[in-house]
This record gives sequence, C-alpha cells and structure tokens, in this order.
Amino acid sequence: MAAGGPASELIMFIVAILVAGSVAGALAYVTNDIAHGINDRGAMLADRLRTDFAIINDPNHIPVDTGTSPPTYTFYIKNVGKEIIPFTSDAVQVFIDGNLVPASQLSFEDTGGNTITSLQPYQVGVIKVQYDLTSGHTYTITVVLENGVKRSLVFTAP
Amino acid sequence: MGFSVSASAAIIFISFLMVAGTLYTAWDNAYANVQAAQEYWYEMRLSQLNTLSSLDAENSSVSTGTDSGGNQYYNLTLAIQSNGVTLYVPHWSGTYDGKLVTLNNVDDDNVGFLSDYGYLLPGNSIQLNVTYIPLNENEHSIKITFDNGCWLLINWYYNTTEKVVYVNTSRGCPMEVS
Repeated sequence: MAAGGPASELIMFIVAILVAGSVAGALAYVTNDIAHGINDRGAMLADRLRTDFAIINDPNHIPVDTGTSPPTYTFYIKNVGKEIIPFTSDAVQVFIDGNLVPASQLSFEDTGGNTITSLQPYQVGVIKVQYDLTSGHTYTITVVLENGVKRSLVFTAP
Repeated sequence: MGFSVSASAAIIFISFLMVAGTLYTAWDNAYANVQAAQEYWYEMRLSQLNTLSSLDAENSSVSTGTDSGGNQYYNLTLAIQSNGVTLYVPHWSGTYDGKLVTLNNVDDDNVGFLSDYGYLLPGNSIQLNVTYIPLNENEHSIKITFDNGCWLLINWYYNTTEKVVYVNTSRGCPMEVS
C-alpha cells in the first residue's frame, strides 16, 4: 500500500498529461484549420475586390461572322482591375438573356486571334460566342468570372 | 494529484494562449489583405465617379481628300477632353464601328492618336485621328474605354450638303447589373 501511492500518483500524472496534451493537440489542429480558413476567405474577398473588367463593345455595332452556323458574335473584355483574370471556358460563364451559353460555343482569344488562358491587367481579350440571335432585337450578355464578379451589356443584334 | 491537475491546467492554458495567438495572426493578415483591397476598390469607384470626358469641339476638325483611286474621303480629328480625374492614355482601348482598333498607331486601322500621349490631365485634351472615311452620309462610331473602364461613345456622320460633321456623344462607366 505504501508503494501503491506514488505509483498511482505517477499513473494519474501521466494520464492527466496525456489527456491535456490530446486536448491541446486537438485545439491546435482545429485552430490551424480555422486560421487557414480565415486566410483563404480573406484572400478570396481581397481577390474579388481587386478584380474588375468591362465589356467594351459598342452596343449598336457588335461584330458578327455569319459564315458559321449559328453566327459568331465577338465581345471584347477589358481587364480594368489589378488581378490577372483566368480566361477560359472553365473559369468564365457567359449568359445571353439569362441562358447559359455552352462552353463548346465559346472561344477565348487575344486580339490577334490566338487562344489565351488569362487576361493581364489592362489587356483586352475576345470572347467569341456562337449563338442564334434575331437581328435588330435587344439582348443582354452577362459575363461571370470564377470569383463571381460579373458585368452585363445590353446590345442590339446586328 | 495536485501536481497532475496543475500540470495539465498549465498545458491547457498554454494551448489556449497559442490558439489566441494563431487566430489573431490569421485575422490580422486577412484584415490587412482585405483592407488593402478595399482601399483599391474605393479608389477605383471614386475614379469612375469622377471620370468626366467630353468632345472638345474647338480642337476637333475635319478635312477632305481624294485617294489615288479617285475615291473621296474625309479625315476627322476628335479632341477628347478630360473634365474629371487624370487618365492614363496608353491603357485606353477603342472600337471603331464596332471593331477593336489600336489607338497608338493610325496606319494599321486608320484610327490613332496624333502623338504619343501619357497622362491626360484634367482640363486638357488629346487628339484622335480617324482617317480615310468614305465621303458619304453613313453614320460611324468610336467607343473609347479608359483605364478605369469608363467610356466615351462618339457617333457622327458627314453631311455632304452642308459639308459639316454632326457629332453626338454619350458616356458611362461599368456598373453591375443584376
């Protein structure tokens, strides 16, 4: 009994340290996760605030190529923000009057006609949209980026 | 028993301190990042709200000519004036009759600045040449988009009877429509 006292004290001490260590470890894990989340959310919000673009077409003169079926309309996108804009069919969605234009009917190019994947600040990119529109009718094109920033242009189909 | 309690309490207390330190550092980083981005956003919106551009009619001009094939044309010089914030001209973009044009070179697409411009200060104007426009009464348009996304749209046609150019301008800035 005299020897059991210190041994049980030691066992209790070890158990207490293990329990406290486990709690501290779990706290550290959860805290790290939350800290990463805060950083990610902050970076995402900052990215959204620094992203801006404009559809710079003349709404009464949209270039159209009637040699394709359906016709191909050309829209010019200017990056007026501070961030590089991902410029692919995976990252950018195009709606015409609320209807999503399938990625297969979109192409993303620079002003020289070469396929590009991103838009540098102040660069102008071209989105070519193959879509059936009625000449003389007014439509709204909405371009949505991967971070949710969107711009719309009301235009008359040529 | 007492030592076990105080040791484990110390571990928990230290871990709480570390939690607070980690969370504060993360919050501080995120806050600084968002704050900087927010300042940029405010600057951009203020720039757009204070962008005011117009056509300076006094410094605009028109001239006519005949090319080697005998076709008559007219050249138009449009003076674009800033009545608002300072604008950085090399970052401007333009469309002429709907098609994208390079503004720094007149030879490739008949549209270009009169010289190499840098900043356009408030009250000043810059001159943009549009050349070899067929001499008829067809309407033409140029849309200039500035570095902050605001634009100036200029429509005109040549009145062959009165031999003058009638110009109409409109302007705006990109705003989200939802």
